[in-house]
Amino acid sequence: MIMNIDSWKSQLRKGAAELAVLALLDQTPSSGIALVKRVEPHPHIGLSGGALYPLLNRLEREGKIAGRWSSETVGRPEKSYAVTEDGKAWLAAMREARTLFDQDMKAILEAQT
Amino acid sequence: MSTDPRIENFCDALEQNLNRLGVEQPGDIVSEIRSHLLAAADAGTLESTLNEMGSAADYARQFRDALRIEDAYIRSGPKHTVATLILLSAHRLGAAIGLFFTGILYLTALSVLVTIGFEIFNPSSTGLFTSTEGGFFLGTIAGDPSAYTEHLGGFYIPVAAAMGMGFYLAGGAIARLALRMMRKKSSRQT
Repeated sequence: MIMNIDSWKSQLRKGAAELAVLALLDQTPSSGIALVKRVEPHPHIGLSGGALYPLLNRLEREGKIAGRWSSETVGRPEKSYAVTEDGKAWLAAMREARTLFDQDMKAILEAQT
Repeated sequence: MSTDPRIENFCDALEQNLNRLGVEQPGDIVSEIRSHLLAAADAGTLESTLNEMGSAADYARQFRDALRIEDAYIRSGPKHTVATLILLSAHRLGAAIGLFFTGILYLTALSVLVTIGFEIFNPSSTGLFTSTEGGFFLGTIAGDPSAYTEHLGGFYIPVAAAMGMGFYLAGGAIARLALRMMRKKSSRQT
């Protein structure tokens, strides 16, 4: 049997990136660049800079986040994102679902050991 | 600030591809990516950042695909769902698989519904039959119908209509499932 842990990890990350981005933006509005830096200490989330912008673009079109251009960094304008009211409601629902999932998973894994 | 020519080359190619693919607000996206690449250049990580993004054409397609999938998901009708699967099937395995099974189910639905017409004009040769060998057959018999036993009789039309509708709904559900899986995948970062 072929064991491909990377493929399994990739499956595990389904939906996690959206939750992570919304949670981080809910804590502090950030630009894409700042988000990449904020997620760097959490490499297991697997959120790369290249994949971040299509995700931010989609979340903005869905109305979950709102972007605003600023030119605080001299010579390099940045688009800063914040979670909207719709996004906050969505985040709360995602957070609850994730918590329940983690509780069940933890109970199963701890029962095995 | 770095003025690495790779940044402008990538941004120019990205803008061209976003325009070609009909992605909304390409200038906004390119400005943001340019800022990101400039920051990466300043941090000395431009090479790895560009590698993460891949080619400008592929990167532009990520924006376009996310838009199409989301649009079809929100509209939710079979026309938009199937049209999106057709457009994405050239470069997305999930879309190709979804389209394949949806196509089979839609064609089955169509062929079952066509037999309703045959049942109206040629009821003795159309229906659900079993042969003397034990096989079963749904549709119209070209040869001698007396070699087969028909089971549904006058109920064939409502049963076939229900079956056709069932196959049609199953095809739509498969298409929507494929779309949902691609939507999840677009949230997945590897």
